Amino acid sequence: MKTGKNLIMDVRNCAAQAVIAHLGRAALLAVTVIPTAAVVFIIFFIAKEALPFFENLANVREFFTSANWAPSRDTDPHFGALSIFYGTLMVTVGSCAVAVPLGVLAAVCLTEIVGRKTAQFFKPIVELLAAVPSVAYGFFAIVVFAPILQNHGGALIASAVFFAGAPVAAIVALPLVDVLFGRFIKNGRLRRAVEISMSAVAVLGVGAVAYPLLSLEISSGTNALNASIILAVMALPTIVSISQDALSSVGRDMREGSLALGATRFETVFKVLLPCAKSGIAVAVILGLMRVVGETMVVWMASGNSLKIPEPFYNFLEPVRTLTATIAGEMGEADQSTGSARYHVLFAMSLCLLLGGLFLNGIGQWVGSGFKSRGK
Amino acid sequence: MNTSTRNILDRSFTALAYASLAAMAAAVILFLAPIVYNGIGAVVFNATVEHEKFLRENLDAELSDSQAARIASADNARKPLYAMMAEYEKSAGAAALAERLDAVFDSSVKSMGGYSDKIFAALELGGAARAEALRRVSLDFWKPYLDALGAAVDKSASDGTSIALVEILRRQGERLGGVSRAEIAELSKIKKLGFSQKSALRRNIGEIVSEKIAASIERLETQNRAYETFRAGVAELLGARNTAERDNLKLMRQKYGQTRMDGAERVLENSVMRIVVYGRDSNGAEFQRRVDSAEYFRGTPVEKMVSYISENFEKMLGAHMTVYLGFFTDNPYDANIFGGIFPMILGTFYLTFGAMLIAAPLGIIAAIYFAEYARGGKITGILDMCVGTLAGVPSIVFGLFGLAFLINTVKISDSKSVLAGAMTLALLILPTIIRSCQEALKAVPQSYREAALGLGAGKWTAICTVILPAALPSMLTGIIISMGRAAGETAPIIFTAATSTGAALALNEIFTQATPALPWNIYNICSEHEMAERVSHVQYGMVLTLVGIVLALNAVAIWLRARLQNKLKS
Amino acid sequence: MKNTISNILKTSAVAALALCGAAAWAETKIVIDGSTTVGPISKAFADFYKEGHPNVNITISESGSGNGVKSLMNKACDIANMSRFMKDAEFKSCVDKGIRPVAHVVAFDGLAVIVNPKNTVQALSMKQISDIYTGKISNWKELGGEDAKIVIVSRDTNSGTYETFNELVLKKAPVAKDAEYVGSNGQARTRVNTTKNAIAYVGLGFADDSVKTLSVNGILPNAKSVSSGKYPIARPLFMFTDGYPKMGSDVYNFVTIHLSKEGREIVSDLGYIPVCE
Repeated sequence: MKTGKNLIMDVRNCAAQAVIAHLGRAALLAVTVIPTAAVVFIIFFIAKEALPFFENLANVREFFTSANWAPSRDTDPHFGALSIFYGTLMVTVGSCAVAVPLGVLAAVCLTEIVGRKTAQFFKPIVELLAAVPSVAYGFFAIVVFAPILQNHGGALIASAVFFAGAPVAAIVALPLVDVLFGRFIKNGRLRRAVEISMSAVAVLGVGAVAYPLLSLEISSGTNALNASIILAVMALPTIVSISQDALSSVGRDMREGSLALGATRFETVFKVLLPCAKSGIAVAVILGLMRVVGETMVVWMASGNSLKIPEPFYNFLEPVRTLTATIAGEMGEADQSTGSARYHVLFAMSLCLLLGGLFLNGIGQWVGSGFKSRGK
Repeated sequence: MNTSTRNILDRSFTALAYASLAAMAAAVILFLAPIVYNGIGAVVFNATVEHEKFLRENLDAELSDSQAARIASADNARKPLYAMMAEYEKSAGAAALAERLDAVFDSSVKSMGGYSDKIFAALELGGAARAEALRRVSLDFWKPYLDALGAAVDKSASDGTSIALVEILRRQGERLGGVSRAEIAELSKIKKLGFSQKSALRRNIGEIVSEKIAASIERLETQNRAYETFRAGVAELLGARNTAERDNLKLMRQKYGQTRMDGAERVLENSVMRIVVYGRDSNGAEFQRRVDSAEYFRGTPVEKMVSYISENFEKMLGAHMTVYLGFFTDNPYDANIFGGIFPMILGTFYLTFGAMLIAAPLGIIAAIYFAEYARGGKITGILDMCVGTLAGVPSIVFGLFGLAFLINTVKISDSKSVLAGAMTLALLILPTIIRSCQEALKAVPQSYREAALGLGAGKWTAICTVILPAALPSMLTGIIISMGRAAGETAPIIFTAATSTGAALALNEIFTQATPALPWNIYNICSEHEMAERVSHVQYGMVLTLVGIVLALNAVAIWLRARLQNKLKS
Repeated sequence: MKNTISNILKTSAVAALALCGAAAWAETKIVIDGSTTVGPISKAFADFYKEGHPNVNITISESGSGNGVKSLMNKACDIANMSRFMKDAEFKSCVDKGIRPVAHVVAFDGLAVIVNPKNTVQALSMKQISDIYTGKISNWKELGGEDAKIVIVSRDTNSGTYETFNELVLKKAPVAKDAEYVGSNGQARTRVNTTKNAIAYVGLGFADDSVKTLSVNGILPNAKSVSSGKYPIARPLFMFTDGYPKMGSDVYNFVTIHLSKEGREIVSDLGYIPVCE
């Protein structure tokens, strides 16, 4: 390309054209700078509005360490955002716990197991999940899902635990039998019997865990679980499609080599493909994470917006509140022109959100650059 | 590990992987099924004649003969009910009752003169004794009236005069002051009375009656309140009784009854067959309770109305399936309870196209720079990183930025406007557009470039005539997909563009005015509407419309991509 | 390919023009912003006003009382709906910006305390409500109901409704930690309607058949008990304008609708209490 360019320059040797080319280039550059300018402006404006809050160190300490959130009071306001940070963390962890295994598994299935046709058929489905507007998901969460969760929550959770847990437990039981008894039981039939019975025991074990959940009563359908599940569905397409890219960029030779050495597909996937594609999958997870953290409407509508760290801390059935929902809900009421502390504290939250996003993005690009260079 | 175990593991892993795909497909179906089913219900539904009445009177819809006939037959079916209600509210017995009570009232007043000696005697007494004596005298001459009143009140519920009776009693209560003053003047003529005697007389002579009237009125009103609740339920179900009443009512939701059978059934169940009545518990605290109407009104004329309604429910409403395409093209009426969602669709359209018009040229130019001109190096690296960063900014932060920068600082409009919203959305979709255009340019084979340059074209000419046209379809795919994203985003437009109510905007107004838009109104109507149940079909309709718009845009993009792939293959 | 693209562009341009042509050409506009509680009143007034003045475009945002003040202050709206009176700080900054807020009381509103229709509790005292919301009472059993944990639903701490409730009932005590916050009256009612053990408070206009209204200190909220002052949790609803609007202007007409007979009817039909009766 460079040679071509020089060639034209030499042949035409036209100064005017060179000037125009340079001007055009400058104009292009000017437009290209817009996203950069936007990023700088966004950070600048958010930081400018957040700064007055951070000037008071006592406020800052309270902001990160206390759960006492009462910013609207005229006298003695409190700005403890700990429960809000915790709520954000909780729905993020919750949605990742659902979306990452499911997404990676689906990506593996689409690239390694099913044929081309089926994969083509599923592509629009993944795109469809990605395209649905978040407010529609939020609507679904509050109007359809919340009442179901509230009225039949116990049965729903119990069956989910059983149907997701039982196969996994059964599969895990098999190698366990091999490892534990492989040396002692040489008889094939006997071993099969032990395997089946162990699997059955494992399934029963999951059943025993799931059974008490049947009688679980959920006092409110809008809670961390609801938000987590809906967010997981939203993050799923990102994770699936990027993991798919990562997996398919692993060379054919690796795959064929592994299979040729007699490894089953399961072993190929776990011992060869996933380690090879791990940075790409990490990028997928990070991008999915970013979508979850930055999502507003779903958490605003589905999370219940309670200002409390759930008790016990892993209780997903209690309502929580997230950063984005707090900003969306309270910004309308904060008296902006008077420059109240409440207005600034909301911007301080946005700044945290923004910096968190930048941080994740940085990690993503750092990991991703490794993934790209290895891919090539 | 044993081979067979490994095989089993492999198979079960495969099964698990398939299960994950199935779960994903199930998520799509579980999500779409209720939304599509209920959303279609906003357009195709079992309508009542009230729907056609609304269309005819507000949107100048022409009625077909069958529709007119249906309205007429529904009106006919309602006639007996309205007759019963009119009869109850203005019962024939009321006039006679009024006359009788008036007569007794007058005769009691007249009899007062006959008691003048006793009254004067009582007035001679002092202090508490005087009050007690006056009380006894007045009880004497009011006795026939109070008896008649008690009898009338006791009977009022069963013969349906209670509504009229309240009015009669009110009138008599008003008359009482004038009557007692006149009588005192009469008595004063017979014997000169002092000021304190006059006031004692005034206090005692009317007090007994006014107390009794007030108590009766309260009792009757409790009784009437139950009927009022029932009547309000019927009005909610069937709307105004006639045109005159309709013109008098102010709210659209009162002028017309339920336009949909599902709504009508809910109203019948909740507000007609069961009603809320008021009572007092043992501590004297008021409370509400829901009762069965037929049970509560047993033995009164209202019972017949209840049974008439439950028997002729469908006839009175003239249920029929209908397709209301106006849902997409009509303005909403009375807080979305009637009419369509046109302004929201138009607002979404403006915002989406506005964002696209701003972001697409910028995105394409930036992509050209990155793909064709950038030579690596630090600056390009930073620019590139910033695009990635912009993609990672949470959407709510874009909204805040739009508010703080575009509206409060630059003041591109003095308040929320479509322009501010479109610009905010443009920023949001810019990184996606840049990335997809970059990919599109990268996909143009290097040979195209070399050929163009080899033919002596300048770089710019080569870009404009060869590379861009080759990359355009797949660029368009990316742009259309980002349009879908812009159409569905809510958080950025909360503070910059969206209102909950407003008219459809003309093109020249988009620079200064805010607009309703589907995503925000979905949130608004499902969380802030005062009658959320009554508009649930509109909620679903809006969601389906929005999802439909977004998916249609995506479908177009997918179709474009498929065409493109075919072309590349051939 | 090129043809297809230009065709697509052409069709969309035509569609755009068609849509624009269909849109009404409004001449003047009234921009209203603020409380969700006053929202239904202003929406109904807008529908009523548009009948007589079809050329006026009225946009209403229901973004909360505080936002209403902000918009008024920035001249971003003509009328700010508020479910509470302006705070001193807000008033001061309005004046600093050259805005003279004038309050118009458009209606009165009682805050109804609502529970699920299945709940057996019928009446509460102010003290009991306050104890529930501050967390001192946490089980319906203590109030004569079933043995079940009370699900406390509160409006967002930023809403005018919350501030009224906090001031009149809780005497500014903080709400219990595990209370659930919802963004609007409608949402609060939906939560109570779908949750058996929930309690919430909403504007009187929102308390319908889907929930059960409790009597407070023995009094049920209705037009009579609120306007006579018997019902203890009541408040005026305001529309604020910048200065007193010019006689005969659209804004003037709009903020005086509530004084007319029709306006009073609309207010009471919506379940609020008209100002003069």
